[in-house]
Amino acid sequence: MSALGHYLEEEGIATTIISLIRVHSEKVQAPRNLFVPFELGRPLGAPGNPALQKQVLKAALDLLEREGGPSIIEDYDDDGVYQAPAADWVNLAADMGVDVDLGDMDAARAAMQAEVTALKPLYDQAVAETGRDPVGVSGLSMDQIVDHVSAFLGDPPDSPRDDLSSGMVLRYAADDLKAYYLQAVAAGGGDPSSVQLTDWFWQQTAAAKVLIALRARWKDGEDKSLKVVCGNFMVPHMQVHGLGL
Amino acid sequence: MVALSNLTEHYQKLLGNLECPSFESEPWVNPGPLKDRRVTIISSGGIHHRDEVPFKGGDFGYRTIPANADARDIVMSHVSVNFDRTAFQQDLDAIFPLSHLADMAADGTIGSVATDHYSFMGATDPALMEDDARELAGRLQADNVDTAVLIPV
Repeated sequence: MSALGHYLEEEGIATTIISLIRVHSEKVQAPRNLFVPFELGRPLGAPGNPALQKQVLKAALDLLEREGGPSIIEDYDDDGVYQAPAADWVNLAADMGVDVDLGDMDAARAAMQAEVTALKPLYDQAVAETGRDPVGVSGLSMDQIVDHVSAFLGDPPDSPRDDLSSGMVLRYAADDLKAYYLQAVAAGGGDPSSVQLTDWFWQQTAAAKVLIALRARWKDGEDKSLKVVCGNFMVPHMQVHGLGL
Repeated sequence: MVALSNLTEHYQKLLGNLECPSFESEPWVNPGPLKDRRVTIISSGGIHHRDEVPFKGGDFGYRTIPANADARDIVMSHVSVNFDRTAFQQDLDAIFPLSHLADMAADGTIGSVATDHYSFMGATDPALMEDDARELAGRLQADNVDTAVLIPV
């Protein structure tokens, strides 16, 4: 972002940047930087908190009226309480994880399909509550996503799309799968933290166990595309570390 | 509390030690009072309309998101899995505050909202984005946009 700010400013566009990594702002010295103490992925603080989001946006805009260039780095003062787990959050999907036999591809596919079916009402509820429908990167239906992802427990399947390799479709399908589960588990509100949501997915679902198995199966293989997709883009670093993978 | 505290020490070091570009010039543009500015949002979240081409690894281009886009149709194909996506999934304004910018135009905080807004994908060498960024500046000027809020994920 800081480099983009520099290029745009050189072209005559005034810029103000919300910064999540202070050291990067210090290194690049873009004109205006508001450092915020939020977790990566939450530059405006928290979902469902418009007052906080507006406050952060306004603080970034206010830098545009400041003198003091060539580079301002301002710290947004916040205690980070928005990152704390919500003690009263009720996980409506708590019992929907299905046991899975990773040695049997058909059983793994069936376990994922059972979860996807069970979670559908919650996904629809979350879409209605939030106005957000985050599945749709792969261009596949949920049934196709389950089929394509689980197939990689065996030999790589043909690509279901003419314009993308099978490995690329796997990356997008895995993104859609995670988006589906993590949107479903957010149904009902209650302001769960990102950790509460993601821990449920990675620790209690067949889908996560399949993704973890795909990482283990392909990350050291000879297929360069699958090595990158499964080794780097399948399981978050925090989960690799936390689950001891 | 700092943003990186929920990452492993290894990942914090990785991000902290990431090589950043350095520049000789020190550009500083001031187009006047905020209440007269025409403002666009530029994200590095790798977000786009579901019908657009998703981002690939090393993709240094940008996608256009009209100000009147339906939040329901904005998806994310960022290559990194090492940041929270649940905020984006629940509330587009949590990373791409189009509705807040519209409110600020309505209450006179800013002059107006740009016709279009944009997303690049972070985790890409910033030097590779330079040509697209400069081309984008021309598009912004054609829409009389003088100010950009840059928002990472």
